[in-house]
Amino acid sequence: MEVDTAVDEGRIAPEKYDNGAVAVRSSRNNNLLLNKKERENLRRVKEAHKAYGRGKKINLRNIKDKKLRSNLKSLEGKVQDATLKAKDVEILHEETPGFLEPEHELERTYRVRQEDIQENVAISTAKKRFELKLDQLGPYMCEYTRNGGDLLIAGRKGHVATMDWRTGKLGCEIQLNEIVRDVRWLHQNQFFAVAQKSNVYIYDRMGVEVHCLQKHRDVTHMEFLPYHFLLATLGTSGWLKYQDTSTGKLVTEIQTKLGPPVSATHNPHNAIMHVGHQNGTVTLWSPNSTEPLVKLLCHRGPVRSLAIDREGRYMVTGGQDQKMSVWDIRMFKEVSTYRMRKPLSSIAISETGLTATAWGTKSTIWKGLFDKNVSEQKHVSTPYMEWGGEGKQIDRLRWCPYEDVLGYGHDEGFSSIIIPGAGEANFDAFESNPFETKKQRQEGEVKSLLNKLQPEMIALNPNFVGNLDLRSQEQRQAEKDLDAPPEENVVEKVRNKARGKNSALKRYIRKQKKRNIIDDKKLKVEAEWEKIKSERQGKKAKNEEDYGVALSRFARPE
Amino acid sequence: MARRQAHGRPLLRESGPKKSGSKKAKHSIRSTALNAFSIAADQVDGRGPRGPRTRQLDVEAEFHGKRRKPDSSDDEDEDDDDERPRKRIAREDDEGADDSDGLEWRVGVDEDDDSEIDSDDAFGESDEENLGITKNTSKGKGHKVEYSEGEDEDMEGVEQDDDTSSLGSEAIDLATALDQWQESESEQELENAAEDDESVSDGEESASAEEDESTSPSSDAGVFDEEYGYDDEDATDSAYNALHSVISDFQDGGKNGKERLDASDLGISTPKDAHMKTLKDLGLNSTKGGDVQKTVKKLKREDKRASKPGAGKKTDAPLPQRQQAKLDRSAAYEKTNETLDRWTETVKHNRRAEHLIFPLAQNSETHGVDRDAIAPITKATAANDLESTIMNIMEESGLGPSAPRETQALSNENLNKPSKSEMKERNAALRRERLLQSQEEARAKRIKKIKSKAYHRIHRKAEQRKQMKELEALEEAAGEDGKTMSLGEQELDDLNRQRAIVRMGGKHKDSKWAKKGAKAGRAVWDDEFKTSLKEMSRREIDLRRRIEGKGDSDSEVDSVGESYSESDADPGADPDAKRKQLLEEVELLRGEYPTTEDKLLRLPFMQRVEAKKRAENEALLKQISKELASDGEDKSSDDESVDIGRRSYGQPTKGEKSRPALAMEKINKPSAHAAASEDDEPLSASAAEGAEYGSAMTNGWEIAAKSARTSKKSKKGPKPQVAELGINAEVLTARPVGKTAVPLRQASRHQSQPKPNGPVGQGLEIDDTSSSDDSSEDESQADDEGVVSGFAAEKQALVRDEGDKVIDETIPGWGSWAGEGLSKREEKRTKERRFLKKVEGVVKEKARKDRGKEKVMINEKMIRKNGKYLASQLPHPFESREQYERSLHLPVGQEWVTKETFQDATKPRVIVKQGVIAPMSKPMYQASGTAAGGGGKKR
Repeated sequence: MEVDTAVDEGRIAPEKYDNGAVAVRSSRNNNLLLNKKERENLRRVKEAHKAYGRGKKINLRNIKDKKLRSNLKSLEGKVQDATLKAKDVEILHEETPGFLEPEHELERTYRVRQEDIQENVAISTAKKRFELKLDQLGPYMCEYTRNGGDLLIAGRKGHVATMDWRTGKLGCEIQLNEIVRDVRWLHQNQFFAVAQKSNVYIYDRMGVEVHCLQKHRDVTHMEFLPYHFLLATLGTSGWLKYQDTSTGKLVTEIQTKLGPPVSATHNPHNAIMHVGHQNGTVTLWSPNSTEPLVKLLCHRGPVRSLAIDREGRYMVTGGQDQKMSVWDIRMFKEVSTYRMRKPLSSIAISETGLTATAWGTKSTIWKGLFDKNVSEQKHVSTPYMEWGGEGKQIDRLRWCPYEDVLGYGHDEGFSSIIIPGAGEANFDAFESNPFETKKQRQEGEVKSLLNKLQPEMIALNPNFVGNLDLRSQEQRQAEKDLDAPPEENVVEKVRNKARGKNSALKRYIRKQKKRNIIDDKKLKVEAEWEKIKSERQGKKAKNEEDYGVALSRFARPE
Repeated sequence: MARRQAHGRPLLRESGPKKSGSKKAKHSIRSTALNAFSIAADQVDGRGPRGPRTRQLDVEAEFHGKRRKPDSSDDEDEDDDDERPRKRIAREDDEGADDSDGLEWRVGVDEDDDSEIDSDDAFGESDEENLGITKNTSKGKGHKVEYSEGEDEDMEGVEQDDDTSSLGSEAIDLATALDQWQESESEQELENAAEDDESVSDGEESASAEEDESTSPSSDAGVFDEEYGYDDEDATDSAYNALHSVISDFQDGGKNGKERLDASDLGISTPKDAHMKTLKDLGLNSTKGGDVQKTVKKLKREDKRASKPGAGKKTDAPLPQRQQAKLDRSAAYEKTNETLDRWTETVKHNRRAEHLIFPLAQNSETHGVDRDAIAPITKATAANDLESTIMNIMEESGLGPSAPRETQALSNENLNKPSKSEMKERNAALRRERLLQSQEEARAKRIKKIKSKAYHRIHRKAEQRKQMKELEALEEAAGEDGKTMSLGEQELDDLNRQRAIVRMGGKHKDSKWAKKGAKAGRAVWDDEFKTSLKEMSRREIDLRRRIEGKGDSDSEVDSVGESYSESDADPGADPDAKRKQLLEEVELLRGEYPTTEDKLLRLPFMQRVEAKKRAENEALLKQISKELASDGEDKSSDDESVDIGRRSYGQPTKGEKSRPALAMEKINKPSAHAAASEDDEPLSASAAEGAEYGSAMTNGWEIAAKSARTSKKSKKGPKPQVAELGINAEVLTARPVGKTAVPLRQASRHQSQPKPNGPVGQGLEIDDTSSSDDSSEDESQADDEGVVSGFAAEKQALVRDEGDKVIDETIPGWGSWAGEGLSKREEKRTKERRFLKKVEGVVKEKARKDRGKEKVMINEKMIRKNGKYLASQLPHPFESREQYERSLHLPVGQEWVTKETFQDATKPRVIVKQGVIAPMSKPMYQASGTAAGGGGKKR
């Protein structure tokens, strides 16, 4: 959890007169006129809105329609209520987050060594610090699953292994005898993708090759978008390809035209791909556009590493120019730049906003590089913690979700160290559950498949779905796809298939009932059938009225 | 009313002809037997037409009158004709229910009224007759006899009948009215008494009463209400009016009535009685001729009218039945509407309600029970015996609701004033505690203080830096003329000096505290006192120095006693001195080992604890000293590394030899240290400083950074130094500040970037964003590769592509050139004929999101694939885009909201719980503001 700093309300000091009168500057927004309880309440609402608010309220006064006004008023009430309740529920958070804190000014948190921490933490936590010595098969890459339960490590020389790192149980271990360029878990710990020498392969948890994605050639970077079930790959040729892992279809292939990528990551907030290039630019891609949505000139040299915080507000980039810059990627503004000793080889941002950077054999963890609650970002001068310097060339570092653990893949294997305050203290089991059982995992898989988002829903603003199309009619006409095939009339098609007048529809429904599949076509046919039935009923009733029950049967059909 | 009439009329009309036939026959049979009675009936009948109310009230009289006089065909009585049969039957019903003497009749103006009417609808006229006959024969013998006895008695009997019956009816009316108004009992009694009287008068003067009623419509309304059984709040007004009218009626005719009653009771003949007697005496009763009878009747009537107060006025003819019915219907319609309107609010509310839960809460057993808070039980609110007895007991024992405050106050007082013995005890306890407090703890406290000193020192640096900046600002404000000292600074200096003088004025030395301490010899045993004494003496020296004019301008210094304050011996050397001092203190503390004198402390476990604490203290001390030492090293390394600055070539301004900075540093250091030592001579220190300054100025290097650092350490900055020089050592001439100021500021800017302590040594470097030369270098490098310029060009192209475009659609004519590369002249020629078309782009250049952001390029083209998920038009009820989009903002799913919110959002509209679903027993919501609105309209 983020610890919000108390915001100074900036209350205006009231002018006082000798007769005791108090001058009130603005009558509306005045805390002086409120009693303590009201003020407390106001503060509570304000805090709740800051943490969980859902945008600005609309002005209800200028709504003419009474019904609409009352509806919207109740809606605003509901929004407010939901916000306050979300804030109130915070007391249910069992764990309290915290960081290493110096006792006095002379103490430095970065002087704290892993040994010191290990001595002073609980045994179960101390166990989370471990090393895997694998010095034969080259620099290792590492990845954690989304719930932090499993670890996937892959050596450059083809050694791939998965494990439940908490228990130390090995899932599978395979030797591919091929160069491994990148490795990535898919939606759960059941599958993982490996970018090998020429193709991308998908393996299941036992290490059995399940798929070979032949369209993805010479892939160097991969990203998996969990809500869309998309595997995005970037090859040396500079093509960005999106593969739907639930349907197996290749969604799009986009040519970046910027040469082989140097680094890539995705924004967890809006599923936009961020790709760092040789010329120092970072480009933002969605599968819906053949051009980059945004281009940022971040460095004066290749962008070696990229990371985005989980809220999708800030991006930290490290360039060959030995600089690290922090970008606000909603405003597209560079908020600060830091000069480094060496170019950063890997960056990762934890759930609480700790930024781990690796350069050469060393690694530094920064705290407070960005803070969403302040308008002007601070320039941090001292790191939070440090690690390394033991001759291990760090290839990749990753934070373990929901844990205070940082994993390093280096040329001598894998190291896991403890960084206090890195993980989210209170997990949301709806999102991902670090302690999930097998059943829960299975159900979660189904649910996430049902809730799968379409690739067309990816945009810079992920809340655009349902918004009003602001294009003019002309624009729409101009942009209309004239080559698109006309929408076929399902009902007509079904009807024409058979001889009878309505029996075709009926028969279709009857047949479909057996199959128990509800799709668009069936719904349409059923609706049509209902319509016909009701029409018939109406006609019958009318005839009965006109001719009487007995004679109605002789009425002439129209 | 309307309903009743509707039922009643057909009955009458059907029975009309029948009635006449049968009645006549009967009449002929009984004509002689009922002769006396018919006369009496005539008399009653002669009262004239009546309103609905009186008709009801005096049914008895009417009944008798009509029955005995079936063939009366007077136009006057036509209206009565319609009414009569119904009344009669009602009466007879009553009679049937009554006891044998048949005199205690009730008029049915109660709730049973309707049912009675229904029953009388069921009877035919003939049935009625039969009933009447049977009754008369079986029960009414005495009655008949009485009637036949004479008019006197007859009249009396009628009167009495009237009395009882009307009393009954009135009593009901009043009771309801009084219930509604909840008047006091006494009042009710009064009313009852009045009623008695009134009923008597009613018998006599129903006509006048009727008149009154007809003139007051409100009373009519009241009658309506009662008849329909509305015990409605809305109808309270009319009920009230009815009551009033009743009372006023009574008042009108009260006097006469009373008189009469009294008279009749006493058997005294009133004038009227006398008159009747005269008639009887005349023997007219026995006359059988119709003409005579008629004339007698008329006479009587005239008589009566003359005797009444409102005599002379003729009552209006009642409205035609049809019209009356219409009026009644409309009134009834309004009434019905009113009742139904009471539900509209509830229905509306339920229609709009988000959730409806059945069975209704209104019908639940616990409805209306306040479960929120339990009010304390008082004697008055005690619900049952148990509670009240408990309350009584508590009251008696002084624990009741009225008691506690006093007792509390008492106990508070007791607490506030401890007794002597208590005080003694407390003191003893405190003493013991103090004794137990280990010496080690005291030591730990002191160590902590030193630690905090270190902390203060650091903060102080920052403070100094800040002040220095302010001073610089002041300097700038003062301008860069030759003035050596700005006004503000001079003032500050003066102020400091003054303060120091004041503080030296024996105030502290001879303070109460010091004297007391000296007297008690506290310095011998109290360490704290000792240290503070030391501190005081040190400060004295410090202050003295300041009086002489070379102390710093620290305003913090005046923090008294315990709180840490630093004395800056002199600006160049102060940190070292301080460190030294701190180290000394640490050493002192290290050497100190508290000796145990107390027996208690010699106990093994106490000693163990003490040892542990000591170890901790030692560790802490070690750490502090280490840190202090390391700080010193850092500093020295800082000093060495700091020689940055621009090298100025050419001749030095003054003909002095230039010396390398390092050498100068070496010279300076010892002097600074000397200055830091506690018992330094201020003169020497300043001299050393002056020397440093001078050398710096004359150096080949402009040691900007150095000077900046020194200035940061001292709050004084270069200017006071110069002034000082002027005072103390006139060896060197003061150099105008204007020149030094510039490099100084530059340097300070360089230094203002915070430098990390640790990571530098570990090979970590933190950005110097301000190191412009570096970044410019980078820029130039990057530009060599064309990255920046390429990016800019690309952006340009994008802007152009997405912006508005002008397309030349001119079609060149015959014989003219067209296309690119047209000569100027040709272009000019074709200018008039040019056809340009402006194509609107995606976004105007000024409205671009990346406008003004050099490093950002945002593609503003609409992404077609996303359009699939956009709403093509504003959905119906919404008036604007904001409203619509706002309505989408609250998610429903439980992933995004709390469980409670989710459940609220997904609750079905109608929830039916198990149980019997009873209909609404009463309207749940009242129309708010209708009454107020009505009032507003009236006004």
